Amino acid sequence: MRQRSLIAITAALAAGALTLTACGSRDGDKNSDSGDGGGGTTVTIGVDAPLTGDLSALGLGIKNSADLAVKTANKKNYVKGVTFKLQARDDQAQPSSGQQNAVTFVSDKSVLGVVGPLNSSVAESMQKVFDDAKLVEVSPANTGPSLTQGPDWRTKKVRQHPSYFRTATTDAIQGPFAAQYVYNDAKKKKVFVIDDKKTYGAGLAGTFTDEFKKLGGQVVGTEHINPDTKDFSAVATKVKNSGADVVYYGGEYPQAGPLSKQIKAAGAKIPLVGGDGINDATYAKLAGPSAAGDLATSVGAPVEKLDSAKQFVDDYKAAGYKEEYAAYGGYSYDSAWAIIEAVKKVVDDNGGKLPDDARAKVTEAMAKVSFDGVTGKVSFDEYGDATNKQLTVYKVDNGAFVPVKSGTFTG
Amino acid sequence: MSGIGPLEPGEDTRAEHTRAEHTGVPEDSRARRRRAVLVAAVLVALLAGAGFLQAARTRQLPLPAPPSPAPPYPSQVVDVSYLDPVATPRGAPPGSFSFALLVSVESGPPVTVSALDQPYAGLSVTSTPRPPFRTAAGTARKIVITLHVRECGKVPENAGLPFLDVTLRNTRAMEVQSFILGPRYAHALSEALQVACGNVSPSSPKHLTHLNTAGRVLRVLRMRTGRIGLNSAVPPAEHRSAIRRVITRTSQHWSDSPPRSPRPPRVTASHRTVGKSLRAGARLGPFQGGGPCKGKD
Repeated sequence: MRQRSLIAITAALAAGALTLTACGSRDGDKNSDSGDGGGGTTVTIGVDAPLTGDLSALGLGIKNSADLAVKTANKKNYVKGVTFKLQARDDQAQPSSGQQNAVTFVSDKSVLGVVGPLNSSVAESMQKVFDDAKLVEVSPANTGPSLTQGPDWRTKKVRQHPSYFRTATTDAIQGPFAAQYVYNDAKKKKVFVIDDKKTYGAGLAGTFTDEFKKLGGQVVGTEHINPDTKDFSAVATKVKNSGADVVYYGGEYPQAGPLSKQIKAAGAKIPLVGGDGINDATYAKLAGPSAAGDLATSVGAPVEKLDSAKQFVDDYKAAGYKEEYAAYGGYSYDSAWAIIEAVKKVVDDNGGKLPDDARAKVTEAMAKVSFDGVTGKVSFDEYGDATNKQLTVYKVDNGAFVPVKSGTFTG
Repeated sequence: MSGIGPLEPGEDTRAEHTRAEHTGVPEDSRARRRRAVLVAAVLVALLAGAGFLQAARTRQLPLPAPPSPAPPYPSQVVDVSYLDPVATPRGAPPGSFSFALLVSVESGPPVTVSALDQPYAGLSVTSTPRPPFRTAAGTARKIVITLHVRECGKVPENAGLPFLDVTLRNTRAMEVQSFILGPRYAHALSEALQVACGNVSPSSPKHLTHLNTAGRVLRVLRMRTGRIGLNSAVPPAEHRSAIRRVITRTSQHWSDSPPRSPRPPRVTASHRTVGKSLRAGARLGPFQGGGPCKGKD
């Protein structure tokens, strides 16, 4: 027996020793998989975006990026006692669908924040619904200034909806930034301005036009298009006959691509310039080879210049999403993370659990959120606008948008 | 017994038995002791080996040092912000005006400003200090940019969001970044350009005769207000406004109101300098009269 005991002790000690050496981790045990948060409370983060239709390339990038933020928070067990869940709804870029989605989110008490929408016109239809329920909404893509600063934002800024925030900068900066580039850098002096009559497109075309004229540029023609059609030959002929040396289009890529192609086909070999709504790989495919030299401004700095975005890009790839994160991926991740940060603040302040008036508290906390996100420092000003205001000009080169100049608003 | 070698042990016999008999120590006890020693030796060897391995691993940890993260791109850590109009440096060419800016670096290696430029064809820009100059992380430095009107026809009448192009360099990269300095800068630039280029044909700055001296403006003011004289110790804010109103009325190009400043203009050292300059009849506000404005009344 004594002999057996000795052997058993030896075996145990040996196993222990071997385990000690084998498990010594040199990387801090990064592989621990906390999976879900393991918490007792489930908090739903809603996503509203066009998940089908022409703009789904952007919408799916928003959904996937918000999903990545939720998974990351759960894996890290970032908010103790809380497991986050994502619920995505398709607004098809239609204000009426967006409003219906807002009502659905409001009726689900587990929803404490919503990421989205993509379109400013859709946001307009949702804001009051969310505001009445004190449910916070963070858009990664809306750029219409009036959403935060009111319809008279040019002369008097008035916060419209306390529950509305956004991580993208506004067209109050994007339009003038584009005008400055077109006039001063691209040396274009005569512009033909076209828009799709929607909140985003018409608003952006307006801020571009104002600045272009102030700089001394000439508007040689204006037109509105119907976004439901793809035949723009009549407008293209007008552009050709106007003598314009550049076209500015306020709208989105499903129309901008064919419009650019048809303008060139009409004989006007001039660049088309647009905003963040055309900054997608699909644009160059729709516009064809003649789109080389077309320009787009977009919110934020190029992802490859942001060290903070590297982890996001790697994680997005590793997660195996089928669609690209597209133009608003980083902003969508940051929008979702802002909601997670606000929930964390509320939970921490309430002894580790959600209070009864969690929605109101989360909205309140959102105003003070500040963290280093994918797109840089994330925080909001008194109107709910992002304090980080960067913009980039992209040019179509070899069938893809490549960055040519970036700007930072420091006013 | 013939000498033919050792005998093989027979059935039920063991060689040790013979040895035990010789030593007088019981066989079971010796075997147990030997086993115990053997086990202990194995244990010690294992523990020693484990300890050695662990120590070796620990020693090796620092060897494959993790690659240090690349420093940030300079555009992501530099902030250039507008402060105020300031007095134009001595020796600046006529038709110049100056603004103070703050250049700050948040983190990373020091950043060098290699060049400063502005996008308007009718303007040129210089700065004090002159590029290149370096700013360390966690620090900020005040610089003064002086803009000089070369051709009024090629300056913006009322730019909403003018910017400066700043070439930045650190150990990571060299980049040109546009800094949009905001509505206060836009307002100040617009005001200065309105005064510098005035109401006449924008084709050439030499036509800007109504601004050729501050004394001329003061004469106009005296006619209009009857309240200001060259003996005024410090021109109060309303007089500055009046000066601007006079200039505005004679301007054909002030069609749009300039962008509103989100903050009321501060009374700064530069404004006080303006007052003294007015008395001396040499300067008007942060911009410098004369130069391109001379030559025609």
